[in-house]
Amino acid sequence: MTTAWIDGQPVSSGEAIREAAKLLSMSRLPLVTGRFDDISALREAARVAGFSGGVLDHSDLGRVAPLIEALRDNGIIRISPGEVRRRADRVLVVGADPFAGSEAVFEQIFAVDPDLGAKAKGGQREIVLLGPDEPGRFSEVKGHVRTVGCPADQLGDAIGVLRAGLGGKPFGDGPFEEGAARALAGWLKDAAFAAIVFDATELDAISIESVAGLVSDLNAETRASALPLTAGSVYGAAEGAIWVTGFPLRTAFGRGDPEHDMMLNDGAWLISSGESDARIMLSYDETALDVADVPTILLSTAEEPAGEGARVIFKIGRPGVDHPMVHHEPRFGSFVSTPAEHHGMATNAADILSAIADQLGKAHHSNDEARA
Amino acid sequence: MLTCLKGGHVVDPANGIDEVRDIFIKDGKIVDAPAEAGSANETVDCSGMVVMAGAIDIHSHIAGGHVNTARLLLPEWHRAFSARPGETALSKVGWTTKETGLRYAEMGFTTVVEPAMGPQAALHAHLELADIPIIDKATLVVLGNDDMLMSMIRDGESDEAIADYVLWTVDASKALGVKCINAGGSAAFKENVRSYAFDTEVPDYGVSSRQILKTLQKAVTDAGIPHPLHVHCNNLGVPGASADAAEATIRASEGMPLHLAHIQFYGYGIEGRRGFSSKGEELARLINENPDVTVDIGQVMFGQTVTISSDEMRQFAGRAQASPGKSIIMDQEANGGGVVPMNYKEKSFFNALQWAIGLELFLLIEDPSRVFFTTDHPNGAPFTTYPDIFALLMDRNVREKWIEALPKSVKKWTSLPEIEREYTLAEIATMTRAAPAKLLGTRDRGHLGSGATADISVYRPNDDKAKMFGAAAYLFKDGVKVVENGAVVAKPYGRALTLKTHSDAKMGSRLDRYFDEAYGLQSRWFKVEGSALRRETPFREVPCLS
Ligand SMILES: [Zn+2]
Repeated sequence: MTTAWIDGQPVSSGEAIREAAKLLSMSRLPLVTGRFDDISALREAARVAGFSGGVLDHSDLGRVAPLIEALRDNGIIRISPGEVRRRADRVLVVGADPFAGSEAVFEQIFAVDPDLGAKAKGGQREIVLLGPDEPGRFSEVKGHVRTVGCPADQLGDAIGVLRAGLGGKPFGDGPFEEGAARALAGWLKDAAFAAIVFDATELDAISIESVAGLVSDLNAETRASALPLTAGSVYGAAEGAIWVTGFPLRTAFGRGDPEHDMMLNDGAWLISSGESDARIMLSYDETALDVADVPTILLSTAEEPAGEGARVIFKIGRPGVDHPMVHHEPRFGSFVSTPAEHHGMATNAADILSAIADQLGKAHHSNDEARA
Repeated sequence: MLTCLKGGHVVDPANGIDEVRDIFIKDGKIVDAPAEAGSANETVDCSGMVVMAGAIDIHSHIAGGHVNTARLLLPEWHRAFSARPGETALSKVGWTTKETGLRYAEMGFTTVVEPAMGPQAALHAHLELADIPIIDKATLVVLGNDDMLMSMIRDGESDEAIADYVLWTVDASKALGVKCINAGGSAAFKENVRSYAFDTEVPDYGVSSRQILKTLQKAVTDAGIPHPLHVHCNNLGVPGASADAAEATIRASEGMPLHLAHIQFYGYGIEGRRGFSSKGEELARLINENPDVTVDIGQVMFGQTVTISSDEMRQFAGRAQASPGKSIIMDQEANGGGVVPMNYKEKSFFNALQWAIGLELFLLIEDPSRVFFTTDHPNGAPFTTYPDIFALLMDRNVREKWIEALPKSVKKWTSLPEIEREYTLAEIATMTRAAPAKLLGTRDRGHLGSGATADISVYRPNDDKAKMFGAAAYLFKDGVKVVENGAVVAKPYGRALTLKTHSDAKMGSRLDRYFDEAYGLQSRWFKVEGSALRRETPFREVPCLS
């Protein structure tokens, strides 16, 4: 079975690896990107970027960039979903449907009543949905649910108003009905343990900082904590990149020490501006990709990945299905490993990336990463 | 291949050796001198140099979720590393797993313990450790704020059941030992308790910090885990209450071994108009009188750093002093924790006295095998300050110079200027090699006897001890030369040292149900699989005490 192609022609994987390394080493600024669902692939991709003097990015990083910015500029008091499940007697859910794509976390939190904490246990959870006026997936959860209407584009303002209401400062009602903001702030303050849940990919950095500020103010006298949700693999990939490179992706290795810049090292911009003249990309997309813009090395799970205009193609297995994977599990708030669903011959993208990095490393005469 | 390190001054207190002699290495181990002189394939001239076992750091926050959160919160210091090397001690650390391995190796360290791995962060911690080159690593898993343990104590479950739970956790997380951080304090903080001490009960559980600590101490001892329970006491950093907490905990050791971490942060009294004074002498006396107890210091050094701790209550309180003014606090299933930036200033009375208290403890605790060399990296200071601390311990003149630079008011409040003791090379080797290996139960290291792992550091003597210990002349890791003249020349990967144990199947199925029903989590997520780490030999097992 063919698993590697150069210019559409079947080749051995060894040939493809050498060709990929050659392409990357000749590039002025190669882009290493894609969707790194498997943290093993991310770790190896960082080596590829390092040895080739490229830029490491994730195709979805833009979705979590506001969260990353808010966390590092401002900080936060945050909570894991398991602890919300057991301890939060009052949950403020911010946004139209922050659990879209985070259904497992929704189930984890709301399937049971809180059972820890002298004041919280034995009672039912109270849930306030701050957003468009419809309960959606909350129509059947345990606990008391009510909605406080707020247009999606005014959520950040609404949080700011709640914060002012908490402080007893004079404030306008913003998107709230008269008196509703003060009541809601009081409701949060009287909780045994309040949790504020939001989709961090839907709010801008200022709004996220506003949530963090509200939580911080609440903790002056009571306990409250924030739960930012980020569906998909990108937050985990950013975490992995932080320990390997020091930064949450969008990091350039062209000048020796890693340099991080959310704008200058945005992969999409690097390609569209012509800054990057080659790309290696990891794709779990079954549909054909248009990658004719720059010479591309494509690692693809597609059934028949050949013929998509890429210079070099590797067919790879699906992580957690065809081979084991290591990924960030939002319910756990940390990394877990998942075995393969079946034993097969499918190639692990991490192994391909590792081989390309080794090939590039050889050219550097590097003694790095000897596998002892 | 037989390698001979020829003619060095070998300082190996574990074997009672302090003399010029040759050391032989074969297949990664230290071996006896061959019968035929001159049969070595390779000779490294060590004449005039000091030869010791590789150094061991028993408490340094180098990996895991909280450390990574600190990297996220403080990217500016990483940038500082690239653009302005040497500006701050923290910037010299760099901010990556790779830098961690290289900087430790350059100083002659070969084993480092990450002391605060949450059970849920175990795979994360091990993934990071797997990416740290050269050195061997180990972890302590944190218990003592977890619902399971506190419930078991409340419900009067048997010692055996509790030991099974502890061993399951150690086994799943691939830890070497167990740490307890402000026992019950994080759980109490979730109940909005803001003031908490050794005999305070955790609301809703009705168990006290003392009960949790004593239960864990017994479980660890009964299970034959070589490293005694590693304790972060209550009320860290609080003048008066911190010293009370340390004293109460030391007295509670009651004939069983106990290790107290970063004891400097507990040496604070309330005298003087600033309400801040040294309890260093009293604390040192208490430790000298209690042979069951070992301590590490957590020395403060001046400059920008960041505090990383699973003591959520303490970190929450500390966020008011965050510098720069931002922090991340985490409520999690057990301990949670927090990351709070900190800038220790030489001109601050408080910070200067903290510095002095750490040195008082180092110098007044008499037995170098019961006091360990740490800054609680990065909490007191980054580990890159170690060379300066060696100089402070070994050279009274260096101390005098440092004291001169402090605010004059500090001198009145510390006995440090009167302390004449200077650590000898043999005492340094005891504190950083022989004793840590014994404390961790890793008998294959910390000494240069036949059969030991060939982790060997070689230093060029220098009157400037910071220069001497800042750059190893050579470092051998598993017999391979990895550092020469202070620069890394090879980057093999070490392993994580894990406890050789097994977990009880009944406890396993109980926890399968518990994590699912209580938290909606799968118990298998807590288990670290070596294959997930992508290293040929991710682990080396350390046996339990029989
Ligand atoms: Zn510590």
